[in-house]
Amino acid sequence: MSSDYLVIPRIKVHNANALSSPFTVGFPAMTAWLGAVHALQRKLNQQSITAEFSAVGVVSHAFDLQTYQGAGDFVHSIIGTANPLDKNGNRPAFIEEARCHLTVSLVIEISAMTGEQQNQLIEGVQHLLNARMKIAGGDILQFQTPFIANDFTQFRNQLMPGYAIVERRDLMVEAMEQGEDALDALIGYLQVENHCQPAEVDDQNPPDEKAKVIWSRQRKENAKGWLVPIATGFHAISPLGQAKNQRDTDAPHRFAESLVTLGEFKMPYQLEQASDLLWYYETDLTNNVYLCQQAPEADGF
Amino acid sequence: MAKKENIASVLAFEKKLVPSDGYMYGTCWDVRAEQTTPLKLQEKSVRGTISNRQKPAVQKDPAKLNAEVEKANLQTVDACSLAPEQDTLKLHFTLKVLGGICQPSACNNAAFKQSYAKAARTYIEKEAFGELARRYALNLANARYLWRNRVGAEKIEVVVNALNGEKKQWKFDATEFTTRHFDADDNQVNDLAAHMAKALASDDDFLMLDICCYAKVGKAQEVYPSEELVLDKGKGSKSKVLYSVENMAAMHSQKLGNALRTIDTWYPEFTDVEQSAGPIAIEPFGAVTNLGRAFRTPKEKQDFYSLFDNWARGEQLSRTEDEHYVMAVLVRGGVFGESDK
Repeated sequence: MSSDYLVIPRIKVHNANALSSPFTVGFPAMTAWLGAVHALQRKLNQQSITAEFSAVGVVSHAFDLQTYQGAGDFVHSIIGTANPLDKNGNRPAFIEEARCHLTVSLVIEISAMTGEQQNQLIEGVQHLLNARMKIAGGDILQFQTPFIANDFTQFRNQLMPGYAIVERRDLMVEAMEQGEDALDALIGYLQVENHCQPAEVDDQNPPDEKAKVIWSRQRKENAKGWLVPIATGFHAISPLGQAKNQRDTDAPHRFAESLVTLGEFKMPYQLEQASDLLWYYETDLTNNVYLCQQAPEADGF
Repeated sequence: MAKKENIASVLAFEKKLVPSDGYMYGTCWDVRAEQTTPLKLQEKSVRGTISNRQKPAVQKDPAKLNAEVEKANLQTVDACSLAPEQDTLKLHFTLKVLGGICQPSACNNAAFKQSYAKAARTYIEKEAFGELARRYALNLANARYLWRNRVGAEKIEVVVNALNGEKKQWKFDATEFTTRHFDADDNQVNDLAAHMAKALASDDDFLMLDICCYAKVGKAQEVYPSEELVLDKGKGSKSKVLYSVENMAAMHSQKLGNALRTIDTWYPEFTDVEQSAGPIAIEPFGAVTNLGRAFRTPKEKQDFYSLFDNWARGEQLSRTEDEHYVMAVLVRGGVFGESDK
């Protein structure tokens, strides 16, 4: 079955959650994007617009993390928001929440539709994005008119300039096969090392104090490209069951922790086909893993 | 007290008035609609004076006081002002008004959800959000969201455009509307309010407004963007960090939202001349940050939770004003879950 792609260009999201896992701050988690699109589908289905959104690609055009770095500071600090006073007029404790403003385009894989269905879908999507939806906890301020295309090369240029987030779990797999600890491997690909070596001594022009060594910065050899840690799903740490005060009493509940792996921001012109961009849900109940990943046939556990 | 099976421990509402950030431009009054330039933040370093209260020992000893006051109190702050030839500040933002208030965004108790939805529907049938929308519209018209920039402005013009549905434009002279009460009866405001009320009362409709506000504050005058809340400023000496988006001075959306929902004149102390704080922002405890006070305390049963818990379970509130207040808190949004212990 051939598929079409629903493209929602330049969605401007305001104050989205940038705390994507317990130890990373940055681009919202993949679960946020797939979750938002899944919510969109369910709301469309309620309005008897039959659509199935099977995969999602995310292209970031602008990303503004709300942090502050003063002159000479090494670390950034989170720009907070003040909460309203409590019943006694006292200020409650500050809870650090990382926020970001961002502009993204979403590419959503849909099964082939007739022209009439397509118009209905586009109208429905526009209305829902305006009236009912949030993305990654942020408000949707505006977006350009969505359209449907079936050939990736047709709309690839409209995703430019921008950066598609693609999965680089292969790097993690490679490093862990060599016996590296997962967190070490993750940090190993992200860290920048500064090396120094003695400069060649030239007898005619003796070097001054500063020029005696040459500094060079480098990253791990195969860590080319713009690598970032991304949260891609959840690993269950308890059996399925009922929890007290769970949100949805009809669905079983289980406690989980975030899965973090490597991703890479890539310009869309570097991608050959839509599948290079798209993310799918993958549930592996034998390993208790709920995952967003690219290329569903890949197995890396 | 309510029965145990009727308790929603997870209960949340999304905000129904969704403002964007407010972007600040400089312009001249006569050409305000055509020529604008984005305002930038400037970093200033000033030598301040030591003027805080000193310990009695220092105060009484002139030599010690001299030694203290001689210290250079160097400060680096962000500031923002109009260009020398500009006399008008333009504040631009959009405001989305959403419907669907009968549906909480999260609720884990079906019985509670049902009784709440019934109460909300009854309110909509009776009031159709007329009073709340009128007050929100008045706050758009009176330019309360300029905050400190409103003080001392010679002329203020507000232009509101509806971006979806029926394309309409409203123009207001903000100086004609007071920020002290909501008694004004103005055709333009009523018309804008009718549009907002329609969106608020709808199931899933929305109204997108574009607001341009022009305030003539005087040539090269300082203007006031939002200040950022940075708890750990690091080694840097900057004591005030202002908000900017893409190099443009801006006001936080939260700050605009707070001004728009400053409609609460129903709290007990409002009529008390000594105690009154004027209209206050809709908050579950009636909190006013700059006074460090909560005007609606659970002790007096005037806070949101005391009113909401009974109302959402089907009881009538004694005053319509209380219903307005409860609905306004829901329009504000928040997490209102209740302990089931």
